Amino acid sequence: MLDPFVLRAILGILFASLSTPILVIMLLRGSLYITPEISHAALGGAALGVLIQTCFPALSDPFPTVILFCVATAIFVSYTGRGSQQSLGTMISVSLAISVTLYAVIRSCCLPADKRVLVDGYLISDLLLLSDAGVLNLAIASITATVITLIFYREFIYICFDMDAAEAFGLRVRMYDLLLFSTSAVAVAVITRAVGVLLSVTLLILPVAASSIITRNVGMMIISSLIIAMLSGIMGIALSLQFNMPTGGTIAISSTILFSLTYLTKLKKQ
Amino acid sequence: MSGNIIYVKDVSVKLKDQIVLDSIGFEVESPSLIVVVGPNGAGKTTLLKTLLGIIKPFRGDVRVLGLNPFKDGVKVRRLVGYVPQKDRVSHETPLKVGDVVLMGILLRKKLLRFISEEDIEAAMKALAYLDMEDKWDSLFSELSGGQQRKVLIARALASDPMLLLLDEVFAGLDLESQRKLLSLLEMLKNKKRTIIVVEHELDPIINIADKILVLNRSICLYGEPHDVLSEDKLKPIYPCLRTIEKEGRRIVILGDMHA
Ligand SMILES: Nc1ncnc2c1ncn2[C@@H]1O[C@H](COP(=O)(O)OP(=O)(O)O)[C@@H](O)[C@H]1O
Ligand SMILES: [Mg+2]
Repeated sequence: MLDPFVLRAILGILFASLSTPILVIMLLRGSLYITPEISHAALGGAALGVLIQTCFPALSDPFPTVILFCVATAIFVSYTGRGSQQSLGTMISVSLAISVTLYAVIRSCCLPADKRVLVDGYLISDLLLLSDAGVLNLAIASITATVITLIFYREFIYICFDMDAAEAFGLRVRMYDLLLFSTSAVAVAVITRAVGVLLSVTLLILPVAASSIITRNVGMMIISSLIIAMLSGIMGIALSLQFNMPTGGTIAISSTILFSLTYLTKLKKQ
Repeated sequence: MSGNIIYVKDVSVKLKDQIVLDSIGFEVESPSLIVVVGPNGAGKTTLLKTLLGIIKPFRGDVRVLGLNPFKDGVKVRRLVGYVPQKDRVSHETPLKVGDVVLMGILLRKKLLRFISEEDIEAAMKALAYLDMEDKWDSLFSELSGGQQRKVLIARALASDPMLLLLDEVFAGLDLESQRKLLSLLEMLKNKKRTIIVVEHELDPIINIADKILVLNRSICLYGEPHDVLSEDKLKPIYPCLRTIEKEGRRIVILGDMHA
């Protein structure tokens, strides 16, 4: 029988992996690189969430605040940085600065020491500490992201392929682009919850990057990135139990290993 | 206001504080084939985007298919077929040729946009017009530039729009494909479709044009080919203008204006 801690960790990582399809679409959009930046917004969101929780103990988990903060950041970045690649870069940096500042100020000035641990759990996360409510939160968020991805799959793909033509053919491209960014922000929040801000880049980028090495078919990319993310997660939890390390780190190690293997296999084939 | 398919009155467009279209006005009856020519930077592409409601004029009145494209942009765009001049297609998104053509049909449907048998037939037919039906399963990004143009033309045709806007599609096609496209446009005209073709040169499209619109920030000339195609009228706009004889026909070469 599985220990309930292990079971919750496994469920947590399975749900986190479920949010990778929208990241594949962000890769096609040429915007995957901003997801680790949005992940930093989770820090600001977590600090804010814990602060709210301290003031209103009825709100038990800072995760909804984290999601809202990530989505708000994504909308802010995509809206204000619309003009050019340069302005997008600038607005990403601005939002990064805001989040990190918010985190630093709230953590050191407003939070009692026992609450700081909660915020720091978003820096490097350990899924083995996940509660039932935590699993439920991850499930709701990632299933929402997946359902949105499925419903608006075509719209998203058309935006990635040819935004000008999509607009000229009557698609409300601005609206769908905002939806694409917001949905990926939910995915980012989920993955950040699972592995922490510092290591989120591994689970945000590597499974998708590996899948794009394996195949050029969008559907296959989505499936393979999902499988790679799940494998990384399960391997990571196994390693974590074996070596008694936080799961965030071991999941990062496994996804790096899986990516490297994919890359080397590709090199060998050429 | 008339019942014409396009009605443009006193329209002026500014892009970044520069007047690109200066109080232009014209009407297009349906069905007809209009050729829009003008030097580089004359505002031809801007004119098409204004008709689609993508660019908003700061003055004037535009009606397309009886609708105001700035209020009912989405509605107008769903009724109009458009082939952009520069396609900023992402080659990172691995779409197949069939999917690209279906895009022209599915974007006109309601949400979820399920693909029906008829949709696939219509997309196949549009590709077949351009002799590209055997490329259905090829990756769009792996086609040649001319083949990609043909797929994008098929995408605009697939939904069988009442109004078709083509921005410099002949350039980049080989002679055989140009001939094919020409007879295709003629066939569409016989099917009562209205077509606006923006081109750099009049040949070969002039042979099937009903009217010519010479644009250079404002409308210089608009009328039937035999009225417009006189040297004294065109020379002021095209100083490099030449006429040559080819296969017994008189062909007007406007001459490249590298502005
Ligand atoms: N996005 C834009 N911003 C500012 N100016 C533009 C933009 N697009 C086009 N222009 C200017 O508008 C003028 C007309 O452009 P365009 O309609 O593309 O001409 P054409 O299609 O006849 O070659 C040009 O002088 C061009 O520099
Ligand atoms: Mg142009």
